[in-house]
Amino acid sequence: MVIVPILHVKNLTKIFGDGCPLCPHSTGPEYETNVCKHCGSVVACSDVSFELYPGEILGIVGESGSGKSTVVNLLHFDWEVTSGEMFVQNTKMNGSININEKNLFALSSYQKRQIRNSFMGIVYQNPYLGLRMDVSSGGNIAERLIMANWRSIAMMRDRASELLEKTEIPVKRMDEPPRNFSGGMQQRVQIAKALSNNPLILLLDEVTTGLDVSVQARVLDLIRNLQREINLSIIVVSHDLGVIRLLTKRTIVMKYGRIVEIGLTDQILEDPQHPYTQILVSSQL
Amino acid sequence: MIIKFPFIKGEGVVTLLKIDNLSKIFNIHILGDKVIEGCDDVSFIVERGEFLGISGPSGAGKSTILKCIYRTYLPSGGDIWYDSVLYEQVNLAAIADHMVIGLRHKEIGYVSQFLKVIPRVSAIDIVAEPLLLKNGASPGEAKTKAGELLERLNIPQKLFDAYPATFSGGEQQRVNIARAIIWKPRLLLLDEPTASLDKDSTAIVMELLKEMRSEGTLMVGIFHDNELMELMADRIYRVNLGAKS
Repeated sequence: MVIVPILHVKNLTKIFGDGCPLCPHSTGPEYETNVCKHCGSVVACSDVSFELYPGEILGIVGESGSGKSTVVNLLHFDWEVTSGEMFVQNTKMNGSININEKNLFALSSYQKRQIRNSFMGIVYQNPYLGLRMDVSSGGNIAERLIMANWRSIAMMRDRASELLEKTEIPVKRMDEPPRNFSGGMQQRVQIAKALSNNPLILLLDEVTTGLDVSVQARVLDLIRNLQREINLSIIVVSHDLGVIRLLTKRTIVMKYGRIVEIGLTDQILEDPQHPYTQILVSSQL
Repeated sequence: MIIKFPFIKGEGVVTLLKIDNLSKIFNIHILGDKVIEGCDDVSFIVERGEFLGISGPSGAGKSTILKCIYRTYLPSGGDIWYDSVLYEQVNLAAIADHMVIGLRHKEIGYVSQFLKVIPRVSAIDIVAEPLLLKNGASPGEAKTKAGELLERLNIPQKLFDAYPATFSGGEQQRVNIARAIIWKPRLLLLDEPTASLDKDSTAIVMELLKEMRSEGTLMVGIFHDNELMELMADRIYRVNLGAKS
């Protein structure tokens, strides 16, 4: 029995600045920097390769500046990649384009939008990036549904209330803008919005960072339950090993834009191999 | 991947687990590349329906062996051959992480010495969860079976809906055992499961384990008590401190 990954990322690289041929060879954990000393460019991530399997939660952990958020932003086409490839196992895209065995980063921006709208969802650390704060919560969800080609207003309203219920937002507050909500509620509206198009892949970028612990606990429980209910494939980016331990089965450890270690989460925590992972694990409170 | 599988399948005897020259070395970079030996030159086989005990003094690497089989530790050398249902014959020391996850999901269970509490989940849900996720039971069915098992393990009914974080050590450990055995894994690794239990609870756990073995679960276990070990195990593999130094 062979399990086919739902997402396959190869040699993902993002350089801010002009870049030079020496960039990859003068940055990274062994040089303890991600600024190239030859051209001054910032190598946000380089040579990042991994697979995401159906139904799994994969963690990406690292300190700030390690490139972990860069990776999810690139996967979501928020930024242009400098180089690299991404392949998705085609299970849902119907009709318009055949993306089997195609490098998604090489598609047109129209096609990238289509892919993003039909099978990706993202939740940012900062709800201002993921939500329109002045538009009602229901409207935020509807906006995404419209992008995914929904047209019936009644159906969109039903879907929005279903999702808000799932994410524990009182449905009667559906017509209020997220600006009125607390941080934890805003995060849950973001999750509802990200789930609205039934994505195959959900990207969570530090979703509980900055929330107080009881609110953080509710958001984490919500993610755990959603994953069990709808069997999503999720990438969780966090600097918090507690979050990684609770949610994930496999983890990528990043430092200065590079992957230093990939492994089973319990192996990363109990038998870390790379010197940086050992420091990270031993630094836990 | 071409695997030359070393198992010999003879009359009625089927080897399901074969460990060849397993070794584990920890390289602690943050302590100036200090090297700690976990276990060395470990070889044994376990046949269908067998319970293999591992004995040896504290620090000899008994738990290390179990953690290598479960892949919580990455083995440094040697092979761990396992005749799985999911992928047929595999070397647990070398297969990809996602395959290990698949095997842990469907075949290989592990009982630790302590319950690693899942926060904000009630005792009964902790025990019912594997049935829901692994065996595809309905929520009602899973809860009923979880309740029955907890009852057999003498957990008072009033605690079923409470969070085990507040339980006594012995109660937590019984929840831990219930969660590990309820889904009937094909290979069960036991790391001193009864260390924090009183005599009566230990007897119940032993009975449950015997039932599982008679139903065909393969077991490799460490017990803090040699008498228990003699009682449970079909064969005993001894690890010595001497072999390591």
